[in-house]
Amino acid sequence: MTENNTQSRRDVLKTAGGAGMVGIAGLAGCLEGGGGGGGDSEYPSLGNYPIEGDTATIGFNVPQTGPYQEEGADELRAYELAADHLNNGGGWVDMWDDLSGDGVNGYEIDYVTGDTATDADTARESASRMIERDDVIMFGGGSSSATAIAQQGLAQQEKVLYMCCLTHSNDTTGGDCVRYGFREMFNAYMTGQALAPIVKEEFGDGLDFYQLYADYTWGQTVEQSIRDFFEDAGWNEIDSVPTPLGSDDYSTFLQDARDSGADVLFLDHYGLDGSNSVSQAVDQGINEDMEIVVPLYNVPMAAGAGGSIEGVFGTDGWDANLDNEPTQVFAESFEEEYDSTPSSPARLAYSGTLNYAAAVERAGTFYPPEVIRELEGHEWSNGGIGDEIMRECDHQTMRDILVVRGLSESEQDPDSGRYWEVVEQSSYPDAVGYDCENGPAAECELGEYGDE
Amino acid sequence: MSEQTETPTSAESADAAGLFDRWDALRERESFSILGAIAFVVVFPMIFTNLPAYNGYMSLVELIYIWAIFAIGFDLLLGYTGLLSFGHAVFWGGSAYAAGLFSANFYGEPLLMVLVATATAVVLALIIGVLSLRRGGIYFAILTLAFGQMMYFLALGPLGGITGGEDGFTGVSVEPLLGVIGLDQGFAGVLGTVFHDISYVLFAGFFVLAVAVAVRIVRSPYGTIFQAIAENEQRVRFLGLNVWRYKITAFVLSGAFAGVAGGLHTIHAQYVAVGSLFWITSGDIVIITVLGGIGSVFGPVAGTVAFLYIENIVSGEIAFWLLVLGTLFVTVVWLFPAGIWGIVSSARSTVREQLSEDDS
Repeated sequence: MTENNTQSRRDVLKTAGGAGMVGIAGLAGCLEGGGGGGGDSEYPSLGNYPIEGDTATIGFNVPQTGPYQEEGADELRAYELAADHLNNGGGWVDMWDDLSGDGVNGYEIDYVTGDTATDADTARESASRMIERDDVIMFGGGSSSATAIAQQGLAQQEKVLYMCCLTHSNDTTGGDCVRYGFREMFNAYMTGQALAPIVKEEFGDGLDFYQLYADYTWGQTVEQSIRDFFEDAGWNEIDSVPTPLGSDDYSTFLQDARDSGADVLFLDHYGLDGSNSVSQAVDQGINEDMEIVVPLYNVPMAAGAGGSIEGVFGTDGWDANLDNEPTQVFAESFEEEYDSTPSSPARLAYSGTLNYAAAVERAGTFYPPEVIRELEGHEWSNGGIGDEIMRECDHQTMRDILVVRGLSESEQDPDSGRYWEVVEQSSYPDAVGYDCENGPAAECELGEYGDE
Repeated sequence: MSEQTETPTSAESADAAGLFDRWDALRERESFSILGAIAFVVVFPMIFTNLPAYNGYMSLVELIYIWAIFAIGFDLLLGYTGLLSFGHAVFWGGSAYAAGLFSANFYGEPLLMVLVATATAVVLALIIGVLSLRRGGIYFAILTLAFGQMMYFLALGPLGGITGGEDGFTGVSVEPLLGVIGLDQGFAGVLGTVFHDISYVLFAGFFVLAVAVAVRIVRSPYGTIFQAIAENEQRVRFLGLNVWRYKITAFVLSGAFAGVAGGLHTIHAQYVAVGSLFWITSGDIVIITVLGGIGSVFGPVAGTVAFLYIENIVSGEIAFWLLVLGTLFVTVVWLFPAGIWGIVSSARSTVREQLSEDDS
């Protein structure tokens, strides 16, 4: 698509529609003005810049229905908290020098919400509504890689920034990366890096392992990186078997795994599939002769599996029980507002919104290319998970990852979202991370800023 | 409509009756439906995007046209021929992938993309039709569902390298129309008010074309036989007609409509989601068609407007939008078996009765 004019297609359509209603026949053509003259338009119009009026609208697009609606609900709470803090202070806004607590760059923050229904097409359409009708200057959300990748593509087309939330696929900042999307969540590749040394230390050298993985993109990437990093660590893969997405009976697969004589079983499943496969493995008594590892943990899955996850290793991005100031500040203000402990996707939602706002403040404008340049290479250490850097070459945040182990039923505390304990915070760059020429980053080409 | 202020004299009431007849004669014409579709694409966006609250937006108008084409084709099968397919996502998603892959590997000219998409859907419909139409009723529905899910799992897993698997197909690159006219090119002046831009003309044009083709089909002798099969298959067979051949034709035709829609959707979204092959998509098109009213050309259009409005506008305001959709569906199906379009039709006849009563 070539942008051959300074005014976006949407502005043309909006004015055209409005003109149609009031019956103005001689409407200015597509090459003349029509977009609103905003406050600080020192830059040309691009996407939804400049902002009309004195309110900047952000879009929160999360799954409110479908398999990941629980994560979505928690994300939305955090998003609304972020908007409130940006306008009125509180939480990290009081701790971050870039943020004032009195709006962003002189604009009050308003927001609209949408439902992705955990479906890529629906997510894209919902984001499209926010961009076109509600004039959002940024949107965020997504609780699966498919929805994140679909929304990123739209963000790049429409030149409206998108801050990824929960997406673990390598492709989000690999082959499908875009200039207009940023991700703080880690990926499957980094999960393998984080798990290998710690799990090896726990269970011993030279073990045989067996994998069951969900037969779709995400499961395949997790399977690949587990194999790579554990074989590098001196373990030996006996076999790796795909299971259909959405299976509710893993008994045959699990029996085969058990019969293989392997020492460790990796269950590369997520969500409901994950809670099913872990519960059934424990029901069949597999945990008596094999160690079980679930590479990526999430709260609804743990809640579904209950006591089955006792002793099961996995990774997570953050935990409300970490002993550092930003974590406590965020967890406290979240609890104060909602009476529940924030999950790690909630922190991603909150952090993404604040990072965007801080970049706008530093840039002194909402003009997207300038905001992107502020985000690229940005380093911060007050996000509750140590030092982080939003990398320029692929927009993947290089950061620490938590290796966690499931607690027993009696130790779990569902009310405060406590299902596992943190075994180790694998730190970047010592334990996790990769450079721009390697791993998923090697396949990334970001695309245009829009002001070239 | 001119209002009659005086009490009608007998001459005038004769005139009114003549008016009705003339109106009916006009309505019976095929061109009337086509002009109706053209009027719709001119007026609808103006109203839809300028509602005082809960207003729509242009992308959604385009999406409504795309889904309406899909629904009109589906109704040829469900409403006119009486065959319930529960696997139509195959043609919608399969053609969308075909258009996307074609644009990524060969050339992304929109009309060519639609052509490739339609051809793909026709081939798929022939194969699946031959395999599924051996059985009728519920067996047919289950067979089409099975083929649909088979395609979905193929795209998700084994063919993931080509389709992008769960991430969807992101390599779509749409070129200018006919190689020269950019899709985002607007019109100036009055034309801008009516036609907005090239991409709007593309989607609206295909929508009008779909209405015209559908009207032509249902008004042809061939289409009459579709309806006869829905009414009483056995009788049609006793007339010596090859019922199976008509069924496969109806199936392929509806697949072709879905193919046009799938190709257009790839142009619209510049992305193909693997969910487009999932059974829920097949279910959505059934809901849209039944909600709008089966057995008419404009029923599915009304259903599309209602469904997509709730899915994309109401969902942003009300978290329980699925409940809204479900309630609407149940209410309409319960009170108006003929769907939303049935409500419109009955309102029309009520008005006519009122007018006729005035005469007496």
